[in-house]
Amino acid sequence: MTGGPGRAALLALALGAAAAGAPACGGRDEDAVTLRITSWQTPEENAIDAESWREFERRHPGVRVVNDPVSNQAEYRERVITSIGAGAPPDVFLLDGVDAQAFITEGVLLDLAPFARRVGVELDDFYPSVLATFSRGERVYALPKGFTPMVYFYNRALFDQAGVPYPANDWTTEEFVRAAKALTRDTDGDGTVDQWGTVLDRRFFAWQAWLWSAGGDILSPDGTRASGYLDSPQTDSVVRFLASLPRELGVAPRPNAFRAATGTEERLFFSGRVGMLTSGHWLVPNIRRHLEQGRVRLGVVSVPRSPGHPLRTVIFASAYAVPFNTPHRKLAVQLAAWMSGREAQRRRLAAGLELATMPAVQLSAAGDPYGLESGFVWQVPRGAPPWGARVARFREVEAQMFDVLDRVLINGEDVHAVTADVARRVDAILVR
Amino acid sequence: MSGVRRVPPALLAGIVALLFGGALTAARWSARARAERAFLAHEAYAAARGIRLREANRLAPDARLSPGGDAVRSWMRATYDWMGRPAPTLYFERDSVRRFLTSLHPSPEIGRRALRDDRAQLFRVPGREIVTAPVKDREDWDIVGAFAVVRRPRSAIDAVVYVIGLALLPWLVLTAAYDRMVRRPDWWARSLLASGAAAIAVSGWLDWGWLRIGVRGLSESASRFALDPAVAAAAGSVARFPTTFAVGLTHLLVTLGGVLLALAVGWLIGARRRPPWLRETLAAWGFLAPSLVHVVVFSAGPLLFALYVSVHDWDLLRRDRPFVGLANYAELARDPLFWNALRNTAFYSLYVPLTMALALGAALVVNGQTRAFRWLRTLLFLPYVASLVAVAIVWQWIFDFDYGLLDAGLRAVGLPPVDWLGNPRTALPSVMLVSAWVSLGYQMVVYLAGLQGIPDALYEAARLDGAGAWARFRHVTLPLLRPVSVYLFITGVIWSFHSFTLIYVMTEGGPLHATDVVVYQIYQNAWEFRRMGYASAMSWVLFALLAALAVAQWKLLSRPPAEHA
Repeated sequence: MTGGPGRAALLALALGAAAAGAPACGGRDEDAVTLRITSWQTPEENAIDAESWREFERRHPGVRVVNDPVSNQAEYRERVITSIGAGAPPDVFLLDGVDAQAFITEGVLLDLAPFARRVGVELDDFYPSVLATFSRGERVYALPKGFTPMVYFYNRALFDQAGVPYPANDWTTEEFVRAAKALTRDTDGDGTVDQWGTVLDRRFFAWQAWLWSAGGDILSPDGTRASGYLDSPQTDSVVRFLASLPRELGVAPRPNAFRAATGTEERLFFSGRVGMLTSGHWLVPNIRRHLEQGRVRLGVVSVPRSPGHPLRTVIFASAYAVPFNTPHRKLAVQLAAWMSGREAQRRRLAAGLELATMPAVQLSAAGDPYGLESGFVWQVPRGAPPWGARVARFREVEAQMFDVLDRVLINGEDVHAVTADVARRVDAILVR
Repeated sequence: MSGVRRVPPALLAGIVALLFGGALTAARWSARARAERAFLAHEAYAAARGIRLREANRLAPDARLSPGGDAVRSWMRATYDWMGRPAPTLYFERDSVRRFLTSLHPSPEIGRRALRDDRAQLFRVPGREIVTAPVKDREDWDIVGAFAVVRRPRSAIDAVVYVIGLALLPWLVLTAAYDRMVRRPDWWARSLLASGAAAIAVSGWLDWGWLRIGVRGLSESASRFALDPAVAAAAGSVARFPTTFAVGLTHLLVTLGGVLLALAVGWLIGARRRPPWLRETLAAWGFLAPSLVHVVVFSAGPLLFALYVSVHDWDLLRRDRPFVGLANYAELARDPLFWNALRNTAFYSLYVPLTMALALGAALVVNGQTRAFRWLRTLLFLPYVASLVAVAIVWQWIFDFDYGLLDAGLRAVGLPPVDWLGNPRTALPSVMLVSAWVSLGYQMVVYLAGLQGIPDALYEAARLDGAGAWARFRHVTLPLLRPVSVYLFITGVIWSFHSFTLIYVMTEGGPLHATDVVVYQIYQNAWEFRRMGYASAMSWVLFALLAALAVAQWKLLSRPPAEHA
């Protein structure tokens, strides 16, 4: 075989290259520390947050912030859980309040309270009802960056057309039904209803506030039992009432029963075919443009309460958390604090993305051009964290809740029989 | 071939043995080095945590560590003495670590990196390896120092001795076996090889024993420094070093591999003759090896791992994953949702024969070479290559009660609309219809290939015998398409059991669990509820069912019809 010298030269080159690369562990730019942050935010939200982490980079020379978002929230959750489990976590990640208890129970979050002062965070600056989702006693596992209480949006134009006065906060179920009936109309006179007072959203988070504001609930106060609560007379009456909206009262179209979310409810609302919709602040950024152009005129009001019961709505918050096994603890805590800090919140507030978690920031917002923000803020003292923030297995519990309304609406089963059966199933999940 | 014959058998055996010994040594050496690094990382990390806790009362939050490391040094030395190994060199304080690292390599970057990262890190410099672990201040905030543990890899002489030692035994065995084989191959050649394999196993076991001591050392370090066991466990992941389990497993696999290899060589040498079939078989396995490795690593491996997970209470977020035996399987047996999903899955799979009939019909229709047929074939095949998510969304709209195309058609002809996806009775058949629509094109193409493989002579002969179109189809086409049908049916049923995307996008298992299929249940339990153990048990039940079904189908359908037997 010829080519011996050529081979030798190649070998020498290879050896030389190996020797040169060996001592320094590669020739990459090792000076920069890369911090990975991840969330389920939309590209529009990321564009606004990008200004904040660029500012963080300017304040911390040698640090690079890499955003690694996953728009689909289910996939996002999978990825965060897997990366933490695999020991390659993001340095900072956005935690949904609904998952707070699960992450806290498993001890995968760093307690940020001891470092709060060091990074310029005053925990008293946050709305207590918002911080409560992520804190346990003295410990704080994530710093909230935005939140929303559950409210009812109403279409002012439809109310005007029907000659119905706009609803006021702290209104009752009777007033709600009166308004819904007045808004339900056959606008083209073809004999079928084509405009409804409201829609029924089967997802539990959409009717949790209804339960609370009627003195009912699905779990015992310590979150360990469903029997006696999910099948209580108060809960039964709320389920009966909600099921009556599309059936006996006929003020809501047939609910979508095959999928958790299809967007049908929102489409009907925005196209002026539904007068009232229960939702959160997340709806606002999507329609901001239409609000600005005056194509929709909306109002925000509290979830109706049953007479004799105080209003209690649910507050959904998201917060930046630091996994216990981040490789850059100090910088990660600094970044989490920065991204949930005043400046970042002001940017998000100015863009109308969500409510600021600090009253001072929220109140400093310039005006309320669409008349919506004040409606949200009014709910805050009357709000509480969702069950997911307190029960580690809540995702499983929540999955059972679809059956409650579906069995009543589709199968026509007796309400109490259904709630008692589902309560037994939930009990089995909670004791597991 | 003749060249090979001229090489003295003993030399050949020696070369084989040397290569074998070398490869085995390299693999085991690497595994052991990984184990040592992991151990040192744990040690350094635990000691760094320990020093922080020990000094916590004396340290101001930002204070640097006092040079109070002697206690740690003596503790580590004691640990190593107890393990019968020389203690590694230790450096504690920020400046000494930086000076030390810089003395090893002129780049100051190494020192900076060691004092910047919360993880234990590995630095390789000529002749040694350094594992560092940061020491934090009292409040666990700033890095105020670091542990640097020096590991000196074995010298080259060690390696040579090791290779020769490992090669010598197989060489003796091989030559002895060869000598015996040419005269009277018998039991003792194989016995010798078995002893060789046993020797390798014992050697592996000794290493494993060392590793176990290392594990005990870890818990020892944790207890001495009152280290939270969770933190000690986390050190592995923080350090990005392989966990003890992974290192142990690698070691075990390498040792087992060595034993199996030795036994395989023994079997080959001990064989009385080397008939051609043996050579052919070996060559065939040689060609199959790459695919086999792929199957073993990416299919069999995860499958076995899923079995392991299924007997544990396995939550990805939790660090303790207790063994629960068959509890997950027992719970499955009582879970009405699982049985409902299984029923739905079985019903759902009925779309396969239906689609096959349609696909065969379509294939017979478009089995021509004109331009129109080609367009038609493309049109029918398109859904198969379209994105399943897009297909699902489009069909969701078609099925919509209020705005859907289908109900608009029904209303237009005066028929009452149907809530296709919202009614538990029609939801699953609706999804099946979409599945059939998607897979029709693929099955049609496979049938087309089958049809085009049927010789025209058979049809000619049938015509001459007076067979009409139906008779030709019944007695020529159908029997000759039997292998294609068997293939399509078995794979189709298997795929139908794996159905997920359409369900996930269109119905999420609703309404009232009417479209809940097993794979969706697996997904929901694994990812939404984080019950990996339970989901794995479901996977295994599904796997067992599918395996049984495939075997049964194969046996039933692959028998040739009596008239063609």
